[in-house]
Amino acid sequence: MLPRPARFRQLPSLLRPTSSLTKARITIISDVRQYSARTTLPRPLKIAIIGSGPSGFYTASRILNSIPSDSPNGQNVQVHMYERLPTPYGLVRYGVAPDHPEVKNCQHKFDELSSDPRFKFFGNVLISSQPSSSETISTPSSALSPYTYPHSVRISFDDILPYYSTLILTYGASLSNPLSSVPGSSSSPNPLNNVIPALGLVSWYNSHPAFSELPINLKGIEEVSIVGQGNVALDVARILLKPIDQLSKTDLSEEVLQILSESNVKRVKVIGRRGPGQISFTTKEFREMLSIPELEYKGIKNELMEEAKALIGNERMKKRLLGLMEKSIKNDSGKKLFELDFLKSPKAFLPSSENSSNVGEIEWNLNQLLSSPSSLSSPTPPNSQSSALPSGNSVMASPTGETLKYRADMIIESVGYRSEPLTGEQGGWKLPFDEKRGRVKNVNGRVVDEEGSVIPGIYAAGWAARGPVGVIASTMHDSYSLADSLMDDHYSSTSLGDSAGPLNTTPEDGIPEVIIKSQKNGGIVVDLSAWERIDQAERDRAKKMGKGKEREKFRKVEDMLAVLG
Amino acid sequence: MSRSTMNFLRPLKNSRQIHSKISPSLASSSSSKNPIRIIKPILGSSIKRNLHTTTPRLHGEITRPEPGTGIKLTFKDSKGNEIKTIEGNEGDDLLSLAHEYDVDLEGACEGSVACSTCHVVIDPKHYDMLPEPDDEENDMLDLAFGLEDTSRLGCQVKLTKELDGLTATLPSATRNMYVDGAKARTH
Repeated sequence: MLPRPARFRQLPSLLRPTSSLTKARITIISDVRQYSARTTLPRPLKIAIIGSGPSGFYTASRILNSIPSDSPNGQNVQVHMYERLPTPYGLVRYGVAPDHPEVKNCQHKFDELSSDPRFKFFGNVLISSQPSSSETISTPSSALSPYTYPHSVRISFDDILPYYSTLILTYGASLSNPLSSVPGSSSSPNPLNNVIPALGLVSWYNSHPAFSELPINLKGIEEVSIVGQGNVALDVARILLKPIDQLSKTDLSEEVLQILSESNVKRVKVIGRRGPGQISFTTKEFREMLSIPELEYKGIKNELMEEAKALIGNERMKKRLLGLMEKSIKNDSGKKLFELDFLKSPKAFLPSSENSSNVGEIEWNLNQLLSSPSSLSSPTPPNSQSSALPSGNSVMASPTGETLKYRADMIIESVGYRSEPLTGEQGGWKLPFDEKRGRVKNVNGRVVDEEGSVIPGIYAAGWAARGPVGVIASTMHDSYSLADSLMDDHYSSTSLGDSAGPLNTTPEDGIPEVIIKSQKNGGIVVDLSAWERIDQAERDRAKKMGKGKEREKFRKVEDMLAVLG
Repeated sequence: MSRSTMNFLRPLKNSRQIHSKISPSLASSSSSKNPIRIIKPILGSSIKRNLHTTTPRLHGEITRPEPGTGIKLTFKDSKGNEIKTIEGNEGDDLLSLAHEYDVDLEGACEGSVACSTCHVVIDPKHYDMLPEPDDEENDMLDLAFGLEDTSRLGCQVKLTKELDGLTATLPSATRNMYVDGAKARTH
C-alpha cells in the first residue's frame, strides 16, 4: 500500500535524516539553510489555501504574523484563501455546537487577517481537479445531501496553480464515515428513514447550506440511539435533550428551533463498541450533559467500571472522566433520560413494525474487550499526559457471538468523518488522496505523491491531513507546526527543485485569470467585504426578530448572495 | 522517489527554533510583533451561559502600573529562558497581561475556559498560593499539551500581592500531531 509514509507517520521521532530510507536526494537541512542565508534573495511566498476553517486561518495567521509586512520578506508574501461557501470559518460556524459560543471566539483570529492587505478571501469558489469548463459535475457530499454547490464559481487546480509558489489543503473532513455494512444504515443499499449521520444532523442544525433541506422530524420520536462516543455524539445528545428555552437564544435558526420544539425525545442512548475506559468524548462535554435540567442519568454498571479503571491506569483525564461517569443522577420528574451503553456494535438497523420505511429497532453484536497484543509495540506519544486525544486504542472490541435488540425511533451514526477527494475524472493535476484513510496523502503535513515522494510546495493541515480528531487547540498546534515547517522549507531553498511539480518558483502575479473571467460572466466571488455584508445582514435579521438572538443564519447560499444585490 | 528533493524526515519544529536559524529578520519579527491582539467584543457575550463561576471578560483592558509599583511577574519560554518580566495590578489575569505585553500566549476562547491554549506552568512556590483550579479549568487542563503538576490556564490566574515574583513558563508547543492522529475508523 503505502508502507513508507504510513510508517513514518507513526514513528516520526525515530527518524533521522540519515535513515536508510532513500536513495533519493535528501538534502541535509542545515547545509541548505546556510546556503540560502548567504546568497540569493528568497523567492516570493505566494500561497493558496483551500478551505477557510480553523486549520486554514490558523495557518494563514501564523505565516503572516511570522513575516510582518515591514520585515524584509514581508512584501513578498501573499495568502489567498479559497472557500466553496460564501461564509468563512468552516466548522467554527457549521460544526461547533450553537450552545458553545465561547468556542467560536477563535474566529476573531480570522477576522484579524482582514486588516492585512496581503490576505485575500475568495468565497463561493469551488476548487477541484475538474476543468472549469464542465459546469454540472457534482461534488460528493453525502448520501443524504445531493447538494452540488450550484451557485459557486467552479475552478480547477490547473486554473490556479501557476499563480502560486505554495498550496495548502485545509478543507477538513466533510463526509461521514459510513456504516455501509450495517443493513438499514444511511450508506447501505436500503437506508431506513430516521437513520442519520451525525454530520448531517449537526450540519442541519447549524444551517449548513448543503444540509439545510434535510427532512428532520422529531414528532413521535421518543427513543434515540447515537452510535459512537465522541464529542460529536454528546453534542447531538445535548441538543436533543436540552430544554428548548436554553437553545432559543443561540444561533440555531428559527426553522431548526421550531423542529426541536416539536420533539418528543425521551431517552438518548450513546453507545460505543468498547468500554467506559475507551470513550472518545472529553470531560467538559460530559459534565455539560449532567447539568441539563430534569435529566436522569443512570451511571455505569459496577463491573464495567471496575474493568475500565483497571485498564486506564493512572491517566489523569480518564480518571477524572470515569469518576464523573460513575455517579448517577436521579431525577424524579424523569422527563429525559440520558444513558451510556457499551460493548455493542451495530449488526442491523431494523424497520419499524408500524412503518417499514422507518427505523424501529437496532440489533447489536455484543462485544468483549481484548487487549491487543500489538499494543506493546505500537507507538505511544512520548508523554501520554500531554496528549489531547483520549487513548485506549490498544484495547479492542471482539464479538462474543451474542446479539441483543432494542427499540430506536431514530439512529444517529456518529462514527467519525472523512475528507472528500478533490480529484476529478479528467486530465489535469490531481491531489493525491488516501482513499483508505479518507484524507490527503501526506507525511507530517507535506503532501506526497503515489510513490510517497514529497511534492514540493504542497501541504495539508487540520482534519484533511490527519483525520477528524482533536479539539480546536490541537488544530491550532497542528497548523502552527505546519506553517513553521512550510516557512522553513520555503526559505531554505531558492527554487522548488528541478522536478517542481505543478507549482511555480516564480508565480504569476495577481489573482488567477479564471476568477476575473468568471466574475465578468456573472459569477459571484465573495471577498471579505462581501462576507462582512452577509454577516451584518444575519445580525440585522436577528435584531428585527427581537428575540435576543445575536444572529439569524441564512440557510441557503441564494439568500446569502441576495444580500450582495 | 526522484522527486524527493526535500528533507521530509525532520519532525516539525517550533517557530522559535526555526526563525533563529533562517534569518535575523525573521527571528526578530516573530517575537516582537504581537501575534494576537483581541480588540473586538466577544461574540455572543450576551448569550453566554453561566456554566462556570468566572465571568469571561474582554482582554486587553489592562492598565499598566507605574514602573516599580506593580506586582512583578516573569514569563519564560519552554526552555526556561526569560521572555520578559512585567508588572501588573491586583486582579489582572496572566492571559490579559501576556497580550498587553506582547508575550506569545494564545487565547483562542478569550478567557472563557473553553480551550486550553493559554496553558502556562507556574513555579511551585507561587502555584501553592493560588486557589485550586475548579472542575471546568481542570477539564480544559486535561486537554493541554505538556501538562505539568503546576499547570494552570493563564486566564484563570489572577494576580494578588503575594504572587509578586511569580514565574509563568510557556509549555513546550512542540508536539507531533501525527503520532496519535491515525484514529478515524468505523465501528
